[in-house]
Amino acid sequence: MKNPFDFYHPATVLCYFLFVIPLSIVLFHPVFASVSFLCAAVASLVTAGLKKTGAAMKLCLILSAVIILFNTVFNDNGATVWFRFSGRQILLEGFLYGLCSALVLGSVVLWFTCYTAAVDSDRFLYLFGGIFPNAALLISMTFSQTRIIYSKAAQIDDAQKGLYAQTAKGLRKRILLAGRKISALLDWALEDSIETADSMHSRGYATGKRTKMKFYFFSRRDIAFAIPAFALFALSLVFIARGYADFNYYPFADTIGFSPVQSAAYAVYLLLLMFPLFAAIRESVTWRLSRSEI
Amino acid sequence: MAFVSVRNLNFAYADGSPALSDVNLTAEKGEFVLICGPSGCGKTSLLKMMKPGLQPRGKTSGSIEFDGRPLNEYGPREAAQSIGIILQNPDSQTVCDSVRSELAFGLESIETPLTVMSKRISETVSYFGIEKLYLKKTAELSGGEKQLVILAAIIAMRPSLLLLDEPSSQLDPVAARQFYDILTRTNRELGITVLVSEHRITDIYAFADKVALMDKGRIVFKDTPGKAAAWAVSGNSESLEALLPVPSALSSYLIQRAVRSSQPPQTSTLPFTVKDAKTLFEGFARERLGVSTDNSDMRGDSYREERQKAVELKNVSYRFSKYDRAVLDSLWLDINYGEILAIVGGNGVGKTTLLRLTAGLIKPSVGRIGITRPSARIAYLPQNPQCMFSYDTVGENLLAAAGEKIGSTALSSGLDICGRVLNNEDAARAAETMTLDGLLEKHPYDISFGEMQRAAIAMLLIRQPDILLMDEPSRGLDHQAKTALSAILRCFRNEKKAVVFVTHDIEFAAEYADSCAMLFDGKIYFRAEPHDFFSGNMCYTTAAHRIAGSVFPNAVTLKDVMELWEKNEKKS
Repeated sequence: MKNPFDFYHPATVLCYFLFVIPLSIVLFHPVFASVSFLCAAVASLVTAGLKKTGAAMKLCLILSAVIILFNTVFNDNGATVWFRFSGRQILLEGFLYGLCSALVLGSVVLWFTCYTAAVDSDRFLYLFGGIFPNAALLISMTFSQTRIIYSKAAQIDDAQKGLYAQTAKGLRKRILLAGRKISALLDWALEDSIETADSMHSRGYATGKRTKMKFYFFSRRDIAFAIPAFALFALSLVFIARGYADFNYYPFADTIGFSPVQSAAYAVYLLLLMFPLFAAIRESVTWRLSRSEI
Repeated sequence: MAFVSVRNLNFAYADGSPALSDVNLTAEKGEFVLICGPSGCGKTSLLKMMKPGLQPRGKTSGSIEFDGRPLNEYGPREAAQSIGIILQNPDSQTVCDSVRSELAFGLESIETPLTVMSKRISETVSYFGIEKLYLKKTAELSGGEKQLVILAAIIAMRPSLLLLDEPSSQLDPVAARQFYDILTRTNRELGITVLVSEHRITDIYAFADKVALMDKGRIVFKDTPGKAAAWAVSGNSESLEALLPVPSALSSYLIQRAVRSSQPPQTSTLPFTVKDAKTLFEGFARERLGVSTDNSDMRGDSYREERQKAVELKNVSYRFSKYDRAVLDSLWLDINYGEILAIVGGNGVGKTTLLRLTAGLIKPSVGRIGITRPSARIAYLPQNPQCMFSYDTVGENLLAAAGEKIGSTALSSGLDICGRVLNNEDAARAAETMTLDGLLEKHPYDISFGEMQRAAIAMLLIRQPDILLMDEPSRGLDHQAKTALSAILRCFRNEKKAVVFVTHDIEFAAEYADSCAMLFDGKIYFRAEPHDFFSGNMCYTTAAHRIAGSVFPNAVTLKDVMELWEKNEKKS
């Protein structure tokens, strides 16, 4: 499946993540944290795909296990004794806090997985390239050079291994050989960069002012995404300011409220975080509709 | 007044070494001019002299005029826009991270307005048919694709003159042909004047309107391709004769036989395409050969020999990561001592992976690689010769490879090797056979790609390996260096060492290998002696076989054809 954020202007996408990620980091309310985690998982699935989400989930599981275990065993802030284990009081609040922290951390990992899939270096640069064209070009070149240098280093390593591996015994010789490899890499990279500079100059680089090509266009779709997202974000902020996202863990954990206003706060937050899924659904629905009209 | 005119151009580098002497060259608007000559004949210098901003530093005299005005009157921006240049190395020429930014780079630099830019980029991408590459990252592209993108990026700037310096020397033949197809199309359909220098000319010789033969900094002859070919074979220049495409070489041989004299043929023009040479050959064959042709077995005797196994690859599979499909899949292959094995196959079939596995640089995912003699020395030539050099001069690199020392000792003793007798006999011999004279004291990056390749091969030979693995050894080599290389490989083979190379160069494999193996779909599909391997193929075969195959089905190389012709002609 195609990343649904590909259909939007990078600015829209970046704004959305600027709304969502900070909220996910600060909201420790169990319901908010759970909502954020679930939505992040869904968003990561529809944008980054199964493979990357799976890898992120693995990371989440390991981190969660550590955090939950650590909090359950060592967190002494609570007041409710859950059970005793080899003379140590294990507190329910500590466990609960660990669980929510794990959810928050997991959701942040997943949101970032989603972010890297939706805003790649090209899009990021595109956003700032209009303001700083030369800096943007420099960063773009750095990205491509980094890849090239990695591949060169690997090739040099191969070749030098083939040539000198049998003679390079002993620490001193191995260090000398490593030094040779680095010098070979520098030589090669510098030599190539001269040709890169030639290629740039031959295409008119540094002959005066530059313009910037536009690859993305702000469309109606972006407005339909940005306005409701912003409204929901503002509403969430209002709820948060009014204390609907507060939750005390110590000494006794609060009970989770479901009053109408509280539920509305949950709903607004849920809606905001479901936007990646909505975008994905919107794409497949418009596609189906466009097919069925034929 | 010609569109481009170079008059009495002399150029010497800052250190005094002359690069061009008294060069005169003109090109009309829309002309396709091919400049050919052996490595180091001054082609690159000539082309760079024509591009303001890239002109090498040194002493210049003479004049270059472009579109009616002296070149030095052009402002930097005007010159950047109207004269495009493409260099050898696709990797170092790409500037940006993504293909579309690369396409926009030149247009942005000359301050093209946004609307014009969108129009130019979209029209060029569509014309080139590279829509599939448009959204990719440049790092994901192959060398051939990168060259295409750079060509497109330059064409989008609407130049009226295009200079290309051996643009295909680092591409495999399939990618090179694709590149030239598009280049010739831009020349024919857009009327852009093209000046291209090459030493591997088989693919484009037929497209040129004019061929300029260059040797030692001079243009020795310039005329139509047919006349240039005829001039080169009539004994005027051996080094240029060796450059000729196979069809011309074969035709020249036939005509020579026809006049039954040892004199070179006195024709003014020679065919240079397979089609024309085939017509000529078949005509001659009907006239001069008997009805029953002697089609003796052209295979040497060596292929029947019993050989000792050097490396056995048993049921080898390899995948780059868990998620990729296997590049090599249950592959079985024996590498023998006393045999030159050529592994051929298309792009991305895993030829390089196969070599790296054999060299022990990576481990197979499944299967076993058995080295029969554990003490055997394995040497590996990677695809890019650049990664072989870790010392400052070619000589020092050779010395270090000779192996007595690594580090400071080699550096100090390396200083007095230059030009004079090397203190190591093996190093001297390898340098001599690979014609590295005069290169020993140079930095590896100051010599041409072909020379670099030769130096890298010499470094491997010094190590006296028992098993020699080479990735595209003939890439970037001119005819002379190829002949030198093949002589060395034969030497190795005769000393009962194992030689394996992977290549795209069918002619090279056909002429010099004892055994050819076709790698396809992760397996060795077919392995045979070159004559069995290439005869009967229509597409995947040598030019000589395409021309003469209908008469001599067993002939694969130019030499085979000549030999058979001689035999049959005597009979009739």
